[in-house]
Amino acid sequence: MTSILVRANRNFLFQHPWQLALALIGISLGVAVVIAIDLALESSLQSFQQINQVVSGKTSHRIIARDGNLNEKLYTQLRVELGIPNLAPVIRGNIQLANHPGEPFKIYGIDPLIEDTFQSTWRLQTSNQKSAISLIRLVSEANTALIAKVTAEQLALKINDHLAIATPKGTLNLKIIGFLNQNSTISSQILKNLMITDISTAQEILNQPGKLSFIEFMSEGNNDKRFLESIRNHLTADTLLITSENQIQSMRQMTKAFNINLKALGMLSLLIGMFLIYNTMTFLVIQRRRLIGGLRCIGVTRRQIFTLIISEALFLACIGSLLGIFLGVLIGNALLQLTSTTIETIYYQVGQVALIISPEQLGKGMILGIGATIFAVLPPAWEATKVSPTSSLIRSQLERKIYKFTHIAGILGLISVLGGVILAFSSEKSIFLGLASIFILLFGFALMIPGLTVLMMKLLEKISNHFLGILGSLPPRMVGSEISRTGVAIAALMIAVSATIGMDLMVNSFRQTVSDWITTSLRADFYVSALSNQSSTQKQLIDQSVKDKINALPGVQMLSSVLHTRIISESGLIKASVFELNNKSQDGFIFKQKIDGNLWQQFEQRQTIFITESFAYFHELKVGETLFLHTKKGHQPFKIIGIYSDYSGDQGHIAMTRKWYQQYWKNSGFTGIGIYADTNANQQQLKQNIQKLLTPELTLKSNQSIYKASMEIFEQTFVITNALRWIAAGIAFTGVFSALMALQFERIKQFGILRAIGVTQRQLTLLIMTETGLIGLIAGVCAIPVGYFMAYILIFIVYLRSFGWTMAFHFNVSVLFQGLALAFTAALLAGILPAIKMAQTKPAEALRSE
Amino acid sequence: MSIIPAVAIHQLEKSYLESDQKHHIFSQLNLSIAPGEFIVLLGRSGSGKSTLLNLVSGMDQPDSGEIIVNGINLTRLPEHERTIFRRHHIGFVFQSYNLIPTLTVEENLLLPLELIKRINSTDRKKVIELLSKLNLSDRLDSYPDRLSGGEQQRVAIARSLIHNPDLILADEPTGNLDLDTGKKVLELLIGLVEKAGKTLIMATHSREVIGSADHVFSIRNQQLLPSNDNL
Amino acid sequence: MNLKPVALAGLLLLISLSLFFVGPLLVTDSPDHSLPGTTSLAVLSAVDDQFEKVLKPRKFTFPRDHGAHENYRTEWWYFTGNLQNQSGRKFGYQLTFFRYALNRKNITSISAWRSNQMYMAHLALTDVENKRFYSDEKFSRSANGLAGSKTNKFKVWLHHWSAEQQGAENSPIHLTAETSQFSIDLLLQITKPLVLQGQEGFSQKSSEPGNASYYYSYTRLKTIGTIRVANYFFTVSGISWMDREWSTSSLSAEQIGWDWFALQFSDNTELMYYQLRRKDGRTDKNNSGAVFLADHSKIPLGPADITVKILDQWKSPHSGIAYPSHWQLSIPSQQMEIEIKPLINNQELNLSYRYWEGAVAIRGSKKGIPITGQGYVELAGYRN
Repeated sequence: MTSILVRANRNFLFQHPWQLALALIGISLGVAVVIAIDLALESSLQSFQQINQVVSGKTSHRIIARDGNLNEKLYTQLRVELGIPNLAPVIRGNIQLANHPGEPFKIYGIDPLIEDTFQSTWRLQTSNQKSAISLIRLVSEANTALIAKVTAEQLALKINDHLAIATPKGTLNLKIIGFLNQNSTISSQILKNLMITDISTAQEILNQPGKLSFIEFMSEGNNDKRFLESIRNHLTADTLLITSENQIQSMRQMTKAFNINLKALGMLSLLIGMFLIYNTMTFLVIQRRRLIGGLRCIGVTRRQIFTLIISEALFLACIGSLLGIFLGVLIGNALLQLTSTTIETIYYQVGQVALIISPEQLGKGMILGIGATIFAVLPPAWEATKVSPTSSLIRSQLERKIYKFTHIAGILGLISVLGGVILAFSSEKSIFLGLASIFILLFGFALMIPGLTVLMMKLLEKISNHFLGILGSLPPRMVGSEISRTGVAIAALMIAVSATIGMDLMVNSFRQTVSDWITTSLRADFYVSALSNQSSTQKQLIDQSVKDKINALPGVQMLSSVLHTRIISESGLIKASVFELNNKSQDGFIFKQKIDGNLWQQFEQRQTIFITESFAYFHELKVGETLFLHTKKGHQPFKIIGIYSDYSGDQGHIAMTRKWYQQYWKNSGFTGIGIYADTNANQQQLKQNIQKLLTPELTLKSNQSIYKASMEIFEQTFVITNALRWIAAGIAFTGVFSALMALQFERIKQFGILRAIGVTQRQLTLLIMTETGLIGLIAGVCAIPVGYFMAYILIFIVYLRSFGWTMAFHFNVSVLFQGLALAFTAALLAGILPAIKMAQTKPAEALRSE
Repeated sequence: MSIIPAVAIHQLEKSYLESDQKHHIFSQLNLSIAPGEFIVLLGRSGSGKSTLLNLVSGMDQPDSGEIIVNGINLTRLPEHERTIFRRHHIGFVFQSYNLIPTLTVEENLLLPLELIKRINSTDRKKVIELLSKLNLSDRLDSYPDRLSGGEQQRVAIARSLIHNPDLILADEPTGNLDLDTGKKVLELLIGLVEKAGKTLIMATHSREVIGSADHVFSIRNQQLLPSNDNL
Repeated sequence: MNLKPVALAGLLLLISLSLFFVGPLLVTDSPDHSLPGTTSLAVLSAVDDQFEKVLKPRKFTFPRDHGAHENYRTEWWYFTGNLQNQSGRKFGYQLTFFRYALNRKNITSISAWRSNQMYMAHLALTDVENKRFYSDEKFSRSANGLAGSKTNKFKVWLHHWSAEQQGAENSPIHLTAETSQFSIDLLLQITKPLVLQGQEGFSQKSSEPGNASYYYSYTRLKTIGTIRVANYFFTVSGISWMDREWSTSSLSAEQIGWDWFALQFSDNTELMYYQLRRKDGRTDKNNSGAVFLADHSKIPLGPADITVKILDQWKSPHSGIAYPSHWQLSIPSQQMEIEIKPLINNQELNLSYRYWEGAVAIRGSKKGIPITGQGYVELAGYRN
């Protein structure tokens, strides 16, 4: 391709900076959102792995306790009695700095004297002495610690300075004897707000003598099988050996649904971004028909034209993707806090998180951006090659061709929609396929938009012609006749709005379901629960004595209790809720199957359990089946006699009575106590009396305030989803804006004629606004059924597969109106600028333009 | 012939800026056209024929001077008023026909009427009558791009006359047509305008119309001069 | 005494240096990792005077004194021995437990891990036939039962490695230690009674008061048991030697290292001798040793009683350090003239603290009669 040829095009591009900018925005935002989500989610996992590298190094297995607390004697037994090498004991917890109370700080207690083959990061540190010496000092001197240089700089600390931390017994000064070395494999963010001490120091600070959080094992040689075997044989019903791989995998598994759902939103943004790119490139090609025709006249081949358009797109794609990556990192950083908070509340302890950027991820973003652009540009590029050198096609001929195309697109759309529906219902348990079906559906509906628009416009034209005259019939005619441009704008807007409607309906249904569930579950008048202890990772439990005292209070009719714990089953660690129920709290269970009269009797008297809906879904269990649990009396069968609703976590759990729990596991306290007041009791008085019995770690809440708090958590979990949805809507808005700009730009002469024959500026503005308003309305009207459809699939397919939850579909008319209003307003807003611009163009100039 | 000229132009100044340089198109241009006259404007491309027509129609404004059409001083009217004036008093015929592509032939003709008033059945009759005069009765429901150039221009002529304007402005009406068709279209235009007793200003290259013109001017040295070629 | 440990004051540090410097990443930024840095020493000796010092002979009581003396800075339990299987295939082994007190503060803590007593153990095996030498080490604090020693019977352990007396006094001592590559499982029968080295167990290492250790040995322990090299097990028998020593400080600034000989002769006699190497190259007057006769009597040896001539050297391909590898020992008063050669040259322990400790064979004559023997030699403080 000659440079003149390129220049001819380039000049053209730069003459339309608006279009250029919008196309870039389309690519960038799409790429940015996908990258941001990918980065944020991967970083949470990577951060976890990096902390492991810092604290434990190269480990292959981990021994954990079901309640999170290992007895330190286990370590001695493994080391001394069984002679197992390459074990690393770790205790971890949260601490508070005395001078920066709000800031979360993690403490990891390690043993500096274990084998160095673990190669954990804490071995590499700088201090005034040799590394080894300061590691020894961790052991030999009480209250010594290593922190990262970043942390030290932040807190203005030097080596041998003291860092004050708040403990239950008052302020404690820790001496900083060295800095954790940052290296290329560990992000400095990870090391921030993290402290390494000797196990003894950590146990003292956390006030957890005798406890370890976990023991790492590094497999190294050929004896491992034997070692692992003897570890396994030595484990009790309360301890479990897992592989590190397994752990990461199960974390991935746990966050998979979360991950896929967020990524789908990212892809939605990119899909809408593609409309924008398609629109811009089509505009640029159509605008250049004359130029291209001219080029063809002087002997430029079709292939050269094609290459020209594609390379132009490639150029845009590269810049757009690069911008997108940059933007993505920024957004990713913002998202990271949100995602990790969500992951932390719902899934697992992440600890410190840092945005960890891998070249692969950035490459992925680049490929995605370029790929999407090229894909979107293929139709206009192909179109451009068909510009014949002799006759430059007039617009309406092109439109007629596109008219035909609307039929084909409509049929293809219908096929896609059908395919999407079939996929949605036949994709079994796959979340990915469920979401894919939504995309196919959306795409199918989008393809049907041009045909539908033409039909609707024909109808509208007839009506408006009748009532509003010829001028009044112009807007629907313009929408219909220039379907190649308007169709894209409408489709983009429709997709964004239907996503909004769909997700709103879904979230509303979900909210309603959860609200009903909480209301049903909260049977007691008051609840006493334990705050999670600041200085440990463990939840504080409520003592039996507290319960007894509450029970003895006047006005207390009865109590219920729950202990949330974990139990080891054949498939690993599972969550368990241990209940003491009364006839009122029994009503708080919503069963998913028909229950018979003696269900509760069976639950209390026999070795049985209930399982939650999610648990049943993920473990493929049914009523009547048996689950084997590790107990202190060996493996015990528990018969499943009920499946009940629970939306508190997406992995689900089992429920059993305290009586059975105590028989098989060691006795422990309570996570929560429900208090049922006598009907004639003075609740206010009772509340005060209970409050007097509680230690500061325990809180007393009414059922309303628990309801409120729960719903707040519910809303929090949708923060990211909402943010992403609005980004998608923003891109769609940009798309509509860009399409309208392009459209009006092309029509400038036509407007000139109208002005010449006496149409006023105001009339012209109204004309254009009516047209864009129509575009919004069509998008909105089409978005309603599509959004409804989407909500249906989200609720009954995607969310069921992601979380195992069944929800009731709560139809909400206002959501539909809001969607309609959103589409209309967005289009109208997007139309304002082009309308004003066009109206203000002098008719003489407008007539002169070609 | 009324005392009030159909078009009166006094001391017209018009220039445009191109890269900070002022180019004068008209300076101290004067003109007076009596109602019912047929004026032909000659001149090379770019000499300002179209600009003059735009000024007379109120689509463009002069730097200074006055343009009075039918006794109304356009240079004193705001944009909106000029547009309203235009829709009542001016009919336009363009070189490239400039029909509205999304409207049928009939609708294209009805549009100027609709801008003035509510359309009634009389108006429709009027449109059909006019079109049959132009031999376009069978094209009533066609869209402009289905028509030949000559047909389109005939529709455009009809559009310029349908609302009974006082002044018809024709900008190279035959520029896009072959000789033969051009001739027929011109005859039609001139015939219809004369019959209706309207004033016509036509910018053109075609010397064949000169014979029927009342006055022929050409734009030279930013002035409007009586043409020497007026034989 | 083997000084070995002695200088160990330095060694201890080892603990520190030890492992830590071994990490591949660390090696790069600490080129001098074979040398206990003076800084490190200073740090760890900061509370030196809080420890008790070895100033005069003491009365030993057993089994109490087999256990740790935590008021002294360093201590060790040192086992070496020459073994062979039925077909005569020869092996040497070393199992040592070191104790090192980081400080003398007595900290009370709710944590069972809080301890100032560190243990280190070295295990080495010489496979003479294949000319292979294996070594490994372990570290632990003496806390939470992970390492320690007993005062009610002979027992010292670090993780799974241990030396423990099976029954009452004079019953066999059971050694067991394993690594992924090799292991030992031996029963050591006390055939000659415990001997006190130096002056009634008080062993002066340099002129300054307190630079001394308490030192006793079992010079002849009849050994049977099993060793494993890779996946091959060998039933072996032979003779072992045990040294017990504790102190707070030993070497002076002048002394840079030592050579220690523990030799067992075919005539049921043994010899222990250490010579301290000085910076100025002169013979140190604190060099000391003894000959232990078959009748359990002891003949002390001073620097004037013995000459040690180095006949050959071996340069370690691993460290580049040149070690003596062939000696001639003359003790005119005993009419003893012997040559000592390592069973294999490469018995360098490349652990956190690097030294050479290896099985040797002896040939020579005593009072005109040919004599053979075996033993262990330790070479410490050698550098490039």
